[in-house]
Amino acid sequence: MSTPGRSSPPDGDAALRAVTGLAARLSGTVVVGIALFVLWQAWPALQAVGPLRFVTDAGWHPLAQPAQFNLLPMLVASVAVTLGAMLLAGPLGLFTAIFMTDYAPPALARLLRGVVELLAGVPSVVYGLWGLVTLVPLLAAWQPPGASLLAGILVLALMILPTMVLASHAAIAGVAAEHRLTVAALGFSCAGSLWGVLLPAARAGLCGALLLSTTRALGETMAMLMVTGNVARMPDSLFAPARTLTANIALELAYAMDRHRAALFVGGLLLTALVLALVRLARGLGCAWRHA
Amino acid sequence: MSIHSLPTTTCAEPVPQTALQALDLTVRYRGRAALRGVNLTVADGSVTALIGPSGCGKTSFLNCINRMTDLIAGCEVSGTLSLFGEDVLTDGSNLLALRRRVGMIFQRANPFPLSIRRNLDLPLREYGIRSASERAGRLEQALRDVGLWREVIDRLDDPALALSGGQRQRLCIARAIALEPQVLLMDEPCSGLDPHATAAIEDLIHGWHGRYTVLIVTHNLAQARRVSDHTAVFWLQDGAGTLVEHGPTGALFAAPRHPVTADYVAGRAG
Amino acid sequence: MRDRLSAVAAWGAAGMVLAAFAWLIGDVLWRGLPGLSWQFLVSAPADAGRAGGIASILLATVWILAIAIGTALPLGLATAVWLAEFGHRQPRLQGHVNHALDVLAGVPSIVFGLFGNAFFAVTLGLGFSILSGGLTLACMALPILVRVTGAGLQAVPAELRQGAAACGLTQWTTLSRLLLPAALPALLAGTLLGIGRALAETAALIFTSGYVDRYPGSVFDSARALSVHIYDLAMNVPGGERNGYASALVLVALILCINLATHALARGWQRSMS
Repeated sequence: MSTPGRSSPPDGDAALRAVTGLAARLSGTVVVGIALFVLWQAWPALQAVGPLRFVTDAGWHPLAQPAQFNLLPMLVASVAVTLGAMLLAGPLGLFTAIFMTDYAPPALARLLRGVVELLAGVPSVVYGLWGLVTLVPLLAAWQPPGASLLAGILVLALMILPTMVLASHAAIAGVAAEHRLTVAALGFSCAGSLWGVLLPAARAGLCGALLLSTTRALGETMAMLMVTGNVARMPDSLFAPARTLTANIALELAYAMDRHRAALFVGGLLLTALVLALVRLARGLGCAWRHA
Repeated sequence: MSIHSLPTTTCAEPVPQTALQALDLTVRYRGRAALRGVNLTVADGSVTALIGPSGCGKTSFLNCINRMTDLIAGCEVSGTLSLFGEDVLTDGSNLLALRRRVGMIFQRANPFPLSIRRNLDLPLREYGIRSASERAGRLEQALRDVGLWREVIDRLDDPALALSGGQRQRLCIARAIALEPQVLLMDEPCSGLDPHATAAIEDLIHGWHGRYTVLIVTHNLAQARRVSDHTAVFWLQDGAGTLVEHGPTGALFAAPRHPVTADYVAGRAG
Repeated sequence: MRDRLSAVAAWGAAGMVLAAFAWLIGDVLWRGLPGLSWQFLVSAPADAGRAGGIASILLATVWILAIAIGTALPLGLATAVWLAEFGHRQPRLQGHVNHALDVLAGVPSIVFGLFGNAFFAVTLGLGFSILSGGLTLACMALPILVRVTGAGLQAVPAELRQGAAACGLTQWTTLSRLLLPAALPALLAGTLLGIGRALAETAALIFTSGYVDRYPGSVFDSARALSVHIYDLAMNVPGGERNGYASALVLVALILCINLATHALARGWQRSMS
């Protein structure tokens, strides 16, 4: 018989609590560690070059004498491909989600959902391969050189479409269940219930879907590296080659030294700051934020 | 204090010992009182029925006794509650030992999703009984006590969830009494059962007089009259549940002192 | 009118989505199948990957995944257990950990690559190695593992916990004998999902596990994951497209298997919970 009257919980439970508590603290620390480490690595550049020069230098020539570190062309390219992809994938994803809840015969909806789920898991390097080998030559025949902002936008739109569809479908299906009967009882038309009731009710989830897709797009590296042409210049048209912040890091980290290397970490810092700002924005707007 | 020595010493005394004493017991959920100022003394070996309308704190009261309240986020218990003279609510007291002395039966039978045998074996093993033969003996005794032994003897290793509703509830009772508790808390144990299964459980409770101290929450007044020797009436006052009357069951039903009790037992309120 | 317009837009969008995806998948099948054979799976790459197969690449991928999941799973499981079973006693810490995990899930993979390169490869001196790559992926997979496992634990009926507590079971027994078995399918689904994510990852691996396409001898060797192999063949090896597509087909097939297994688990789990 165990000893009643003992005042502390059994050793096993205390150990369990201690060990899992330690794990939880460690898991929570990972993100802080990453932030601090990237900041620490970027610090030499921030200090020696100064934050201002990352937007005012004549260009991105990290190996020139004197070196120049303007990240603005890459930032513009990143934002441009992201916005372009969202403009395409946003409405397309939303309507596909509406199709799945409201219009599709059940079998077709299931098929579509299966396909979209599979595509959500397809690695970005495969999208990049397809873009590089199939899409870019097509674009090149029309508007050379092919590898361009537009190629980036198209590939990225396709890549984030699954996220957009799945997240907005979850949002709409979530409210449809509770409102559908009421709406039908009130004699609403299909479109009337959709635009008048369901979409407004799913607002929080839809806004979360949009912002989740945006962060995915902004952070995408491989596909952008493979289809945008990687020229570190301010893009002046949709058909001009460009280089995103993410591709810039992937291209140069292998050989970057000293201040150049630190400058790449500044790019990573900027990227993280943008994503965190979006997450903040999502919370601020009251979006239902879910990492699917 | 040893768990086993208690019942034998108390049986010899002419006046029943106090099993449970609540003084000014109050339960709050996130600052809102659900149960306020309960004073109740329960004699050892008695069966007490807790009656009253829904939401007047009966279950909250039960949950204090084995500190299930600890599982509810934002739940605060104040006042004092003692079990055979030992304070229950102090932070330092041994929760697991307390819950082994106080068994609980829930409204919805909740056998573990394991075999019938493991349902009893697992807590017994936790209880520190190393010997397999002793565990087997206790298992058989507990299942016999609840009248389940004959029904399950040839399928002890089948999943417990395959049993019928009444059998499940009796299995849960067996699981509780296998630990040889002093007190049994029953929270509407028969509300989901048919009359036949209900009768089987009421028979069990009859057999427990003097052996376990039983507190049973029920909405069935006839059941309260049948099984209990004391009845406590809970009622909602000023937004929180409280104890309005308490006494021997026969006297309480025959001549209720409190007007709400009179209305309630006559079926005019609640 | 509006009804008609909505219907047209919905059908049109779905049609476009299906067509685009058919194009993508068809392209991978069309160009990938000719290069795919048993020989391709079991022979080592030759001539910078243009010839030969992907055997050493597959082996390296398995090693990297094993390190990633082997590290992230215990940590993620323990974190999920703490959040679900003990966290409510320290609500502030619980909030911080949840928030940190949400932020971690949003960090772009190239930033994990930067961190992995600077921390594991350089600061800890692990160099370009399977260990660096695996640990970097472990950081990435952590939020998914915690979320899915946590959801599994939370979905265990409250009655089970009450019953266990009322019997005076210790938390260790409750967890190991009752809660974890009940949440096992979710745990497996989370692990599979984490493997899927790790398998798809490229950017975080280029600068941590590296490019070497030989058979790895130990976890301290540099090795090339399947996704990195596809990237390298497509971008850096003229004439590598055929094998690049065949590798892409293998990768997509692996992801498909993982998706199907996750679904089967999730369905079985929903049945057992209801």
